[in-house]
Amino acid sequence: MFDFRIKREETVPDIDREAVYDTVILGGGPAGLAAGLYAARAGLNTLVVEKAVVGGQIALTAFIENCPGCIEGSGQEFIAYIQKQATKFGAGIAYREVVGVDLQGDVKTIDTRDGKLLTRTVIIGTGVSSQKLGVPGEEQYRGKGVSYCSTCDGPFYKDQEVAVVGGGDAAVEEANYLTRFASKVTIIHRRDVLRATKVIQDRAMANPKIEFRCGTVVEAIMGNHKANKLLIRNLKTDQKIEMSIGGLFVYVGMIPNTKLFEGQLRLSPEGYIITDEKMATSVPGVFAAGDIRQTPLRQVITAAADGAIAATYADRYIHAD
Amino acid sequence: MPLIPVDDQSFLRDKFAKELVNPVNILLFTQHDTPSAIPGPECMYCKETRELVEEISSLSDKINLRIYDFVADAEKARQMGIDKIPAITFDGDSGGRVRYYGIPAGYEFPSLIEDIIDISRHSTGLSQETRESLQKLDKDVDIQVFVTPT
Ligand SMILES: Cc1cc2nc3c(=O)[nH]c(=O)nc-3n(C[C@H](O)[C@H](O)[C@H](O)COP(=O)(O)OP(=O)(O)OC[C@H]3O[C@@H](n4cnc5c(N)ncnc54)[C@H](O)[C@@H]3O)c2cc1C
Repeated sequence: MFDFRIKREETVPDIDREAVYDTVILGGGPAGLAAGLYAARAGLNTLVVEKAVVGGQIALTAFIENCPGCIEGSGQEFIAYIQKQATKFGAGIAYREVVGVDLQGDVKTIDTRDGKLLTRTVIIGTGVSSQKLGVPGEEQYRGKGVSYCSTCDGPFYKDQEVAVVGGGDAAVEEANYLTRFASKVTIIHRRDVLRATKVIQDRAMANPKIEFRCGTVVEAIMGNHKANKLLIRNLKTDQKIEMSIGGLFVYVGMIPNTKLFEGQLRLSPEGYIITDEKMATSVPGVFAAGDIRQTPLRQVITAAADGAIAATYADRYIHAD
Repeated sequence: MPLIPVDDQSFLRDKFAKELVNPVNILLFTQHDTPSAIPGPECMYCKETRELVEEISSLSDKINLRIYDFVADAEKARQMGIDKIPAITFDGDSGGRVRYYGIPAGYEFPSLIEDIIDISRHSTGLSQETRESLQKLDKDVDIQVFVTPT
């Protein structure tokens, strides 16, 4: 039931500043870990650099039902296995934030604030972050009633009434999850119909604790030391009302973590990295994988698949000369 | 079945052998395993926490374990500033200032191990610079940190 393992990979000195790595992988989500596994197994001197916790977004959700091989929805376990496989083949994992990159030339430089790393290829798997609502009060009450992660913060709202903004899979799935704690969950969605997949919607519709306010937007978040009220507006009637809340969970989409690469790589207008089918970016030796990429599906399995392709072609790139 | 996986036990045995300097006394405040005989609420995870610290202390001669009963040893608990159980603390230098409430599982487990080592070495990760600026504090500061993975 409890886990008393020592994460040994975390306790050994992790970065070789003298070496030129074969590949440095930015981000330890499903894409980065799968790339690490493939690259290390191919015999590349491989380092995964992760700023927070391995697993990426999976670490922030309680359910992963659709990922092949994740039995009973345990994404954490699935990630632990990939991590184990990757480190078994010799991939290093360093817990640092990448704060700068120079991707030109044969040897690329990665800046981790406490020093620089050299590498012949780079695989970018920095994923996406939660989009903000962009309404007054959001910044002020962030962490004080406004959350972007129900797995992290849901248990704080036991027997309270909470609202979820958004209508996609993440919003509706997390609303379902929040009913474990909250006495009532109101889904506020700007459109008239939800965008979430049918099975997820059906589950929410059947859940007596969930209410819907469609065609409605949040205009402001109010409170004292903690958020306790929303100003919401019905888009059809233009009527504004105040709604009391214990907390607000925001699931209105994602933004790519590509700030670091602006001006160095070709990005889509939305900021996603453009690659070919080998995951190669506009700069030789630089690959991208997972949610960070301009891609039709952003899921665990596709991110891991991208990682495998990226590592395979990073290996070919290195051995081409 | 031990709580700490066997290969992690041998890893820890080596780590302790290499890194522990002075003896470390772990004090566990718990409640006896017979809730029906002792009035009051049952202590969740007290049993598992006790098994865990027993296993840890078996991995090095330098680690000693003392088990106290929260009710019977109330005076000791008060002295060490313990107000709930299960609680793990240490005597000596760090006397009662490092306290773990609840079961130190998952990410907490490696931190407990690092704390045991720090206590044994009378060291912390603080730089000289940080120590100097902390020394300039002229009144008590109560810091509480709450974390979530985001
Ligand atoms: C609430 C929620 C529910 C979801 N449910 C499902 C589901 O049921 N099924 C499914 O298949 N998918 C689901 N997904 C999507 C899935 O989690 C993602 O598609 C997948 O995690 C993408 O993997 P990735 O490796 O590309 O990116 P991420 O998982 O985003 O990982 C990126 C990693 O890079 C790190 N990073 C970012 N910037 C830096 C930097 N500068 N330096 C170092 N490290 C950095 C981040 O800390 C992060 O760990 C869900 C996502 C969310 C948010």
